[in-house]
Amino acid sequence: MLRRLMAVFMGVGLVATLALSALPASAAEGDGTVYVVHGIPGVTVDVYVNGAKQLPNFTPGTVAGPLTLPAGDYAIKIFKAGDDPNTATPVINSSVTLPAGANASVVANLDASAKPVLSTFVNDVSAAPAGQGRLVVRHTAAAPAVDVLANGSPAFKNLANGQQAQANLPAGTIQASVVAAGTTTPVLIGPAPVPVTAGMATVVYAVGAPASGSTASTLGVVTQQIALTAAPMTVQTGTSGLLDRDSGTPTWALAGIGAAMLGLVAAGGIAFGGRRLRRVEA
Amino acid sequence: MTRRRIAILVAALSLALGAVVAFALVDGGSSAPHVRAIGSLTPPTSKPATSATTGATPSTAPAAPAFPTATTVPPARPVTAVHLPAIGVDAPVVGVGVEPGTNDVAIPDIDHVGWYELGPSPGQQGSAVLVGHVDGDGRPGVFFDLGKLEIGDVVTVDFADGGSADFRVTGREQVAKVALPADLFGREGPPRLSLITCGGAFDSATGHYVDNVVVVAVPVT
Repeated sequence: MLRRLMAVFMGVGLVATLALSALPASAAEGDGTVYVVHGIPGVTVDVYVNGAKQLPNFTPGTVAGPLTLPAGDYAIKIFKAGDDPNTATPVINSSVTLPAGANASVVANLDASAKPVLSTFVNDVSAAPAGQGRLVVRHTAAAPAVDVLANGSPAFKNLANGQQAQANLPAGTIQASVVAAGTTTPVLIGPAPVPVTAGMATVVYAVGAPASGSTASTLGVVTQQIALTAAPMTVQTGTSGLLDRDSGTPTWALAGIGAAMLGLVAAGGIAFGGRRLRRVEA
Repeated sequence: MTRRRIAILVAALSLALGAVVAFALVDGGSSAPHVRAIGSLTPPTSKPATSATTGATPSTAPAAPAFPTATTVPPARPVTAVHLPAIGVDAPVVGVGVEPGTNDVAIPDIDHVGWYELGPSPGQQGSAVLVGHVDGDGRPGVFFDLGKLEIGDVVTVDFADGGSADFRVTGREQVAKVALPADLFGREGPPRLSLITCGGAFDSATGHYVDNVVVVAVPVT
């Protein structure tokens, strides 16, 4: 029994080791995972990281990544596509600190006063309950604080530029819209269908700027999905024990002991019989 | 040969037999069947396209543009049937989720295979899961012989859209249910198909087996 218990424990340990070794081999310990999100309407750009052109012709509304990078500080310069980085003025000149082991989204977006900035959000990729996904909303538009309505009801309230909110939800599709904080009309963005996918974070960025003078509204959303850590699951697929008819009753032990006892009885019978015979003979 | 000698011989032989059987038991010779592990449940990950810059220090200018374009999860592609010719299985497949409020995958009746529709579809990124009973109601279930699949055996799935896809077995393992690797349900990593049933010792107290038998297959390219 002790050995069997030890075998079980060793088995569990082995599985745990296997699970750990299943992590991507290419990622060194402490490396971070980075996405880059283009949330500035109307301008296609080239993204330079530490002086090298990393993302040429990066179009508004797109998401690049994931890229595995060592933790540390990165100098990010963003130019209008095709501009000479040695002479042109960058749209954004900033730096990003990537924490060790973090999963982060770096967003080029407009701040509340419509100035292009870089915003870094750390993505929560912890497991959601089985069968659920995570909805994350990030305010990266040149707009005051907003409420996010899900299927017409306020879901996230009073979100300011640069802030985010999230919730775990059953898989499905919700109709999302964005309104000024404390209102339900007019709708600034949407309503738009947003997928909530089990095992995934759906990150929705509010981007752009509202109408101003003769300039039409550029408000909209950019969506990205990021895999969450898988939730542990259980699979119960047998109730009859047909594979294991002998389990629960130590049949082998009984068979062994039985064989031994039968043998002893037989031997005894033979011995006693012999004595009796000898007695008769005597 | 005297009867006494015969008696001694029989006693000695029977004791020896008993000892051998008892030793087999003590030495871990469980009566429960154990599926021998073959291959690996984690197919090799192809190096990501981004690896060109992996390992570069922040002060080193990476050589080439290397950002992949992030994509959202493609629409689910429901599965309608699975074929395992090596063990003579042609089974209808239904979509399954979780038992409400638990981490238990919902399992269909013993003649149907369940596709975990809250995970990827077969062929999509991550691990698509098919579950099936090993037994129930006192008779064998659709995945009774799953543990007999060998490396290279073909798995074919049919989709509701009329298409089908072939996979080839790359690994097989029996794992404790309490340690079922979570990434069997993960959406990360290369496309793979994970077939899961029960195995190992049967715990008559709970009415369940203590282990799962897992077979992993990868797309035939």
